[in-house]
Amino acid sequence: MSRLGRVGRRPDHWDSPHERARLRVAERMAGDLGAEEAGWLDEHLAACAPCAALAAQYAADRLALRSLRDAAPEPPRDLWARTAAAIERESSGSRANPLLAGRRISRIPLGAWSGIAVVALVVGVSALSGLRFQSGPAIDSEPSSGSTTGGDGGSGPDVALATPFAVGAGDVQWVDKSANGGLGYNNANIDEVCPAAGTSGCPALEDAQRQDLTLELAPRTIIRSPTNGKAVVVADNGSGGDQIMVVDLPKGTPTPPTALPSTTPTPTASADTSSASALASLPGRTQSDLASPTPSAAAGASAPTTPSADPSAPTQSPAFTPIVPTLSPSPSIAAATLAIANDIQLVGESAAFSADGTWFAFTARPDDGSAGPDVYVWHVGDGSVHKLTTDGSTVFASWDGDQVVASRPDAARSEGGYAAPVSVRIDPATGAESSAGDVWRPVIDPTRRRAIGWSGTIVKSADGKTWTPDAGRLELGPWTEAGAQQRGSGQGRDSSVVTDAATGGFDVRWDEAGDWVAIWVADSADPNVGRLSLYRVDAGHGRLERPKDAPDGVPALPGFSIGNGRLAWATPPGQDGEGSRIQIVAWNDDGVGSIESAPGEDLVLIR
Amino acid sequence: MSGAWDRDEAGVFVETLFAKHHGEIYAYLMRMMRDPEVAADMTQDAFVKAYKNYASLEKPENARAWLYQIAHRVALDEIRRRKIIRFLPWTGESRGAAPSAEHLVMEGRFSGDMQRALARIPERQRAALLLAELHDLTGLELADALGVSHVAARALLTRARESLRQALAAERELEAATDAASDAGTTAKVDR
Repeated sequence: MSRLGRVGRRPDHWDSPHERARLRVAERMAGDLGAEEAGWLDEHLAACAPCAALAAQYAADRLALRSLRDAAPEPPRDLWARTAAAIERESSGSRANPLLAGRRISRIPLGAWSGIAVVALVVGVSALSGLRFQSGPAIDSEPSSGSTTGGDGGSGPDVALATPFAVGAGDVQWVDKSANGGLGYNNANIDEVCPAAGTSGCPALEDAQRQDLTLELAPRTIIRSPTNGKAVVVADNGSGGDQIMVVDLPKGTPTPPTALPSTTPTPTASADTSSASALASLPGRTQSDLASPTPSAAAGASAPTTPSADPSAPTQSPAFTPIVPTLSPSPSIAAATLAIANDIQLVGESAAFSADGTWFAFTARPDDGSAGPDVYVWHVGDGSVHKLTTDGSTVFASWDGDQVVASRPDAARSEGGYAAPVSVRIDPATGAESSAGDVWRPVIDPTRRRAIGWSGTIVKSADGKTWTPDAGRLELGPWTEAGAQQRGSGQGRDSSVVTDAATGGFDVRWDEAGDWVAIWVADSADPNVGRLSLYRVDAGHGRLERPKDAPDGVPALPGFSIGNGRLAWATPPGQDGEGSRIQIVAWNDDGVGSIESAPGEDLVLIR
Repeated sequence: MSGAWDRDEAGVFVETLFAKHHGEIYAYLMRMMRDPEVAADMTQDAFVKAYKNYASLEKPENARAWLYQIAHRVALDEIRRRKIIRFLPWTGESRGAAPSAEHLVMEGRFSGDMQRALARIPERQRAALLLAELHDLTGLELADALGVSHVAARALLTRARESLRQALAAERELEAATDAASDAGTTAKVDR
């Protein structure tokens, strides 16, 4: 019986008997022809010397081909190790992270954190205040998803808490939505975190200072200017698109001193701060009011803050005693909004201010989906954004000094929905372009000597307008004046490659010095969630290192922030049956530790 | 096998599958691509895809052909991409970098007439020949692996044999011409 079904063709349809014989000879090598056709073939071969020679040649070729069995290539010995690791990565992509499982953490819930949307903003400041770990009895000892960096045990009132260690102080700021639907602006300071090793319990973020906000649209993303206390807010405009606004961040955010009285009343969502909480639309404001690049003395990363401790309260606060900030005196928040773009849809999470704070760049497309993405820029002080590219296929990657770095498919190397990427530097003022290498969305470090980007092909998404990584890898590489440069051999691949699967997209952010980098890789099935990892950069060897206890593929929503020795992100909702949390990992020379908030619903993290 | 996707079960299954078949899958991909590192990457990719698509395997007894089908698609995807882009990794020790000793050994082993001829023929025909003649897939298995009908697989294999014959003939002619040129050069030197 034939191993393969014979190709159907009636004998009388052959152009010549020799062609028929050639085909039948080849077919017979895969199995029986059937008695009738085999008989005809044997007769023909007996009478046709050229056809017989052809048959012999086929047989000889087959023997030669089969001789390749003797040269069977040996797979590399580490193939299973590599494959198992890849499977494990794949598996962990949709399974509860072991680091997040099985740990009970006592928490003091954020008093005002009962709402839905929470937006956090990490701002580096040197002042100490506001928020600390608590060593006292846990108020909330419900089971939780655990900490980012692991830990072994349940905790509660009867469980000894971990001994936190000090890290450089830094503020965490966020916007949340209270139970009554109102927005709130929160500010907290973190100067201690729980170590990962030996942790038997760790308190959660405690209440921070909260002030009511009034915004016409609920923010989805807030990106703070590095220089002037303003922020770009992206919000759903209610008609399928986004509105992009510029707002004043609250000024004069009260920051209690290091030692605050533990008896200070805890502020709640009902605290009467609305009169002073004016992150509100103020029609009378002018754009210059909003866009003034003059740094605010009371806002921004380096701004000193005003203590607000009650002088009548005790002055000592033992370590990990609840430290509750006060809202008195109410901060003077002078804020306004200025819509700089509407009827567009923000694409990705790469939007960023330039280092000097004079430009803001992002990727967007028309909200009706009529065209693909382009790069937009906003010059601080202008009344609206400016469309920098017009090809409908270019995305903003990052800033390289005062130049926009953008990526697009190379039209000359594009076929069937797949393409090779190219990157360009673009002067945001003139639009002048220059080549920056064959890499997709390189995110350049602050030293402008390295970048992390997608090296490989890109593929058109199902919408037919946007592009995502296809085959290749997300990796660290050299960055020069010519852009992305191929590194010579001798540099370890594994030490610089983040992943070879980023079809859902990715997000990369460096810390201020370029010593640390956090990388978020979207889930291939649902790009609204992803996995976040923290790396230390070995500048000398150009390698990425995984510090002990640093987040490694932890579940995260897009929109994390990194800076001032800490990384903050929001966990996806529903993890272990609870709401989202803001998680913060901080590090110093001694190690990496973490702290997290109590759960909330529909948590959104911004930077 | 279909139904709920049990990760642990899938993991154990793929590990077993790897133990039994990784050598032949690697060999197939090596013969298709002629690059040991690429073949290793693709073998890894094939088994990861097998893990991810475990639920799609309806009959465990067909696992080998199913695995070849996955590997075949991985290979065709890579070949298709290579037609678009010359892959230039950012980092070394890979494609685009200096060849490794292993690569050179493999290149020597796979640089004979037959390998060069195989490289000349269309990739789907090459795949059909390799799977049928070197990896002993039966007719139905071959059809499954190639993702075509039984009849189409047979037709593809038939065309592949003729393509290989012509490619081998071309290789031999080229080799003969090269030898003749070399002999002529030697003779000229002697005459001088």
